[in-house]
Amino acid sequence: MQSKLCIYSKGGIHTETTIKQLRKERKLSQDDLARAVGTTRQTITSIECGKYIASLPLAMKIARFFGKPVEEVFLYDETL
Amino acid sequence: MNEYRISIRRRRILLRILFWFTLAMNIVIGELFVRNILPDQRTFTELANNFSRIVYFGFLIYLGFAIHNCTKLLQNEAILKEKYIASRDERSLFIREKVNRIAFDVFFAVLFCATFIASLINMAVFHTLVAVLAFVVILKAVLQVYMERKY
Repeated sequence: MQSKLCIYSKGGIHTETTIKQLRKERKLSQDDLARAVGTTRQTITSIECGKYIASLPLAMKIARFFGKPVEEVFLYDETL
Repeated sequence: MNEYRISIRRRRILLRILFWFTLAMNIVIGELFVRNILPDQRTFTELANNFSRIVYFGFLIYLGFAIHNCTKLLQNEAILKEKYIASRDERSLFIREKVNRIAFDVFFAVLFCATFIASLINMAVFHTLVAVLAFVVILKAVLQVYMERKY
């Protein structure tokens, strides 16, 4: 069972990501991940810190890069 | 990536055309004024004259830098790739959209206030600002309709 490292909560939308943990397991830097999925390091940092929610295409790219389903990398919960 | 390279090449061509056109226009208009073919009836204050010079030469310098940047990008594959990724980065686009939206809202509010104040002081300025205000409102409405149909 993976622990959820990052939490984003705004306007009743609650998301969590496991990117940081997955990245650490594979000994990858944010820059390595950013290059692999075609984005910038700043974007990866913001997603990991929960400041920014990735778009569906980017979320799919990240999930595919780690070989996991999107639901395992990005956990979404709407608590209205 | 290749499309991006082509777009940079196109941008450089357009910038070069704009640079030479701006330079040529200044020389041609200047010559027309000097030879009195086109009488210069403008009444410039010293401040307006200096401001127009700063805008003109500032624009030329900006174009020069932009052309230089495009050339540098086309010569260096690593920088080109970096710029390509940065140009498609969704967070940057999101930030830019947000900044533009806030800037437009503030600009519109300031323009509205300026129009009101101008109506109390100078009618020529007031009419100019009303025209700008009307243009901005129409442009926004047209873009809203266009975007709603597009997406």
